[in-house]
Amino acid sequence: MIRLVNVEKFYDNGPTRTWVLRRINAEIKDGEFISIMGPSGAGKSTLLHLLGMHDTSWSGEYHLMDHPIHKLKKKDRSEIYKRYFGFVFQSYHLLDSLTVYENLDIPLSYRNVKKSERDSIVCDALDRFNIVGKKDLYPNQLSGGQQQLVAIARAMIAAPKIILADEPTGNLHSSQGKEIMEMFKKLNDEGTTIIQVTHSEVNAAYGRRIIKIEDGWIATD
Amino acid sequence: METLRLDIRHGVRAPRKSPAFALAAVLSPALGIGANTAIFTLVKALFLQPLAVFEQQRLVTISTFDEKLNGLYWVSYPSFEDIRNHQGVFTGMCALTPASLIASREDGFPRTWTGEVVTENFFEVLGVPAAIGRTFGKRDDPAPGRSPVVVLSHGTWVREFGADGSVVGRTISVNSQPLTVIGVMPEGFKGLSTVSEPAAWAPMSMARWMMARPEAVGERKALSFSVAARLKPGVSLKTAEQALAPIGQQLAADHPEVNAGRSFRLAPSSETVIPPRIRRTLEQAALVLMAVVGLVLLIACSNVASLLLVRSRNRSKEFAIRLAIGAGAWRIARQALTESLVLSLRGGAAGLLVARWSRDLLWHFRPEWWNNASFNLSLDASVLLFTAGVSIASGILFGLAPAMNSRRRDLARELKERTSQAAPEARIFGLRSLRRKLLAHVFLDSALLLAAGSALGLLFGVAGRELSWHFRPEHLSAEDLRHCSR
Repeated sequence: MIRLVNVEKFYDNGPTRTWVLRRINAEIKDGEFISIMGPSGAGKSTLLHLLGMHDTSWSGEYHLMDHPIHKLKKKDRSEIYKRYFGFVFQSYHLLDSLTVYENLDIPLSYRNVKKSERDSIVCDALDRFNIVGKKDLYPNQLSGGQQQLVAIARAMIAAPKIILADEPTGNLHSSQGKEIMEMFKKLNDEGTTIIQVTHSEVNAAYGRRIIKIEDGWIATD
Repeated sequence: METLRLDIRHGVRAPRKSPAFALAAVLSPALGIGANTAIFTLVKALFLQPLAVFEQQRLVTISTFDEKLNGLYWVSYPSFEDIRNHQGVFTGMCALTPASLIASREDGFPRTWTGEVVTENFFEVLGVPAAIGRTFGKRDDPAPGRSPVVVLSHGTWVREFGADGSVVGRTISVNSQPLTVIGVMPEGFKGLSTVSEPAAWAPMSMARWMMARPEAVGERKALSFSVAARLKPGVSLKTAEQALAPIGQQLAADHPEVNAGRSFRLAPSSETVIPPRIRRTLEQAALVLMAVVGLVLLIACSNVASLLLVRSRNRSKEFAIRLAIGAGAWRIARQALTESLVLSLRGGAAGLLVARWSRDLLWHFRPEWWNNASFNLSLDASVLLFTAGVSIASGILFGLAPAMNSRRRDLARELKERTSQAAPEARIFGLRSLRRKLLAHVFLDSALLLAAGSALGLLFGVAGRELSWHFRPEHLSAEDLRHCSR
């Protein structure tokens, strides 16, 4: 599904060059649940954002199914991202000015889904994630766990093939974190590929594969 | 359309989160748009107001061009008669001259009216019938003093006679002559002017009693009459002017002492509702004013653009999230532009209030010779259209920079920043900075607006002096010798 060949990323700081990712070679199969681990600053999140096409300045080859992402223009990458990916952030990143319902609706509107279809999809998602009662609330009226649940619902709303999660339980207490991880497990069992960045061994255990990164290099896979 | 509706809804809702920003972003364009609307209202009233006559496009004004003085002037009554008797391009020609009238009603108390003495076919050429009663016609004997009648304007009828429908047939004293009121003209009819409404019209047969210098009627040197003519169907203005050339040449040959170097020029009546000599000065004043208020609007736009840029930096995380959940760069830019348009339209609505206030202020600064003028300074549909146009244009103008800015972002870095890391930026561009900016640019706009107002006052003053001082007033005295019926 995903193949990375010699992917590298660096920042130039005057005369010195700081490497963030070095010769990353990896293959991720459809339906996998992968945890990317490593110390802070190792390049985990950078790799995740690179996979999510939020980062454009890198070298190497990135193949997503039949699409050579490294050769595509920004606009085409955006279209592929919309079709295949959902992203969950540590800080939830819900839009504060929108209600729960609108937060779920807006990714669909960005994909030009018709209003009647959107309504139906959003109502299904509210049901599925058991947040119907919260639909008219704003994010600041929800607990952290509830916000992350909405964020996962938002990531799933357009039925992506791959969920990228950047420390999704980092801001949650353990019981909320467990609930979120169970949700990821369920989604993975239903066929969604999950790639998460985590510091937690417990959370990593939900996955079937762990990639450890140190100083930008893949240490173990 | 559906996604645009979402953008508009967000644009309407977004300012609620930062009311100080919203206030600044609405107030600033309101001042600029308001000033522009007020000036447009004045310019429209002066230059764009159509005459309330039948088929204005066929109505032309005939002026005398004097080579020696290199200017356009009115026409002498004898020349008017010569043209009327020899032309073949008009269906009718009429002439008028202003007259200062002292009118007394039954109560005997005199009032000063600014009226006009007109040829008997005046209303017929203009194609406007009376609203009540009748206008001058064939039944009125053109012999001097044989038809002591008068037609009132709508304004006079309302002001002086309380809109009494039975005024027709009553006799009033005008310049000590008993005149019978035969009609009242419809509201908005000002004859050949869009600026001031004459109080009443008296026929040429009463010129001897109504004009300050009735002998001017027989003098070729007295260019005292404004002349209008209605083109025959199919005759162009150029053809008509060419047709008058031989008449002018003949008059120059017959009366060289007066008419040498003089010819006749035609212009559409829409361009001559303000006398050409005054029009040039007013046009220059209007151009300067429009430039000044245009600059005020530009500064207002740049202020709002900088506010929006500051705000877009505070909202960089929001835009990054939107991109991360699937929004295209164009969609984000469109949202930024929609928000600025919503703001500018709100600014436009507030600008109408400013326009109303500044219009009254402008009118207060008008030159003295406009004291009796009756401009149509209403904020009507065309003004609203103008304001909406200016609002949309300024919305696009001040929304472009933030929209372009929204396309250039480092998504990964912005998404990786924690909320706590964004806080210092929010503080730097936060409320304190916003308040300072608000005060600074409201102050700047207000100062510029006042400067524009002062410029207007100055220009009006200069225009008034220039238009009044075409004689040397030194060593002259003025006496107002009015006869009173009491």
